Amino acid sequence: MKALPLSTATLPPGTELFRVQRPIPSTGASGHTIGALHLPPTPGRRGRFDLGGVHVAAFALDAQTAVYETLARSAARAVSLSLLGARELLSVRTTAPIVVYDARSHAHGWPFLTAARYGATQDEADDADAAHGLFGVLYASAQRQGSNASRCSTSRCRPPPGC
Amino acid sequence: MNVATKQMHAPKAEDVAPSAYAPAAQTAQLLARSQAWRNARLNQADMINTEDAAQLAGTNRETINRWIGSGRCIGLARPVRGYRLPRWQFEPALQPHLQAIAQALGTTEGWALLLFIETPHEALDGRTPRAALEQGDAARVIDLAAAEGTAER
Repeated sequence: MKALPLSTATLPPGTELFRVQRPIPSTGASGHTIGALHLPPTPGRRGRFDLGGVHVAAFALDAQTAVYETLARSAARAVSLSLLGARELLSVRTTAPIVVYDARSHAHGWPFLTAARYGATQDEADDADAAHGLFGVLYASAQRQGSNASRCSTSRCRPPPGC
Repeated sequence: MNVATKQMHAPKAEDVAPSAYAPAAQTAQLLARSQAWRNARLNQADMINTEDAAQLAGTNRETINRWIGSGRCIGLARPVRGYRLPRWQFEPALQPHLQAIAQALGTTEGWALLLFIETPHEALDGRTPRAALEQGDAARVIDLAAAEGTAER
């Protein structure tokens, strides 16, 4: 597959990012934790723009989009109240500039970026990571039109002491 | 990163501006529609009662109730008493994996399990987890369950 033209965006220090997650790490192999960030035990290509062998965390640029992205998938006809009650909203504030691969501007010419074709977005993320090694990907939300989400590679995430 | 977390429980009325949330009447209407939808699902042809489930699994009702409590089988509480259970969960391709799915999801609640298993997922190439289990992809389904509802899409 031909890689998209490189374009980047910088999230300035002080950017607030939001994520819905479990209050405690996933069960099984104890989950993967970075500070207050809880991820599944093993990395895997589960969601849009996931990398093959690296833990990736999804965030949204506002709280509502985080909830839409997590709990209001277009294919879902209903959501269990018990599942809703067992989740927390995490907010983080960046303390340094974060340069990400900006996929938003390519969405018109490359419709898979706005569709739910996970495989194509994951291939694109792998290609971009190999070529440019950026911190993550910024892309348009597929669940909430007009909003943005990002995925950050946790191999480049260094939480401060106490985080 | 500075980090803050907040449990997703309903906020107290005095803590929020009234306009920030749907009115109580709208919420009640939504939940009432949910009850009608759940009742319709409970009465569909693939649902059986605990007695029939016990016969199908070659055990007794007490064991089925215990299995429901541990996530080894999917039991949907009826409005009055007792459970309804999807018959297909006792098929050999599904039954051995249900408890692992419940553990990965972090819940034994019947509707949470059922909705996960019956909802198509792009990570499974658009299949439902049930279809993926029937096609032998249990490991992929359990892996996906570990990420369900955690912003992993």
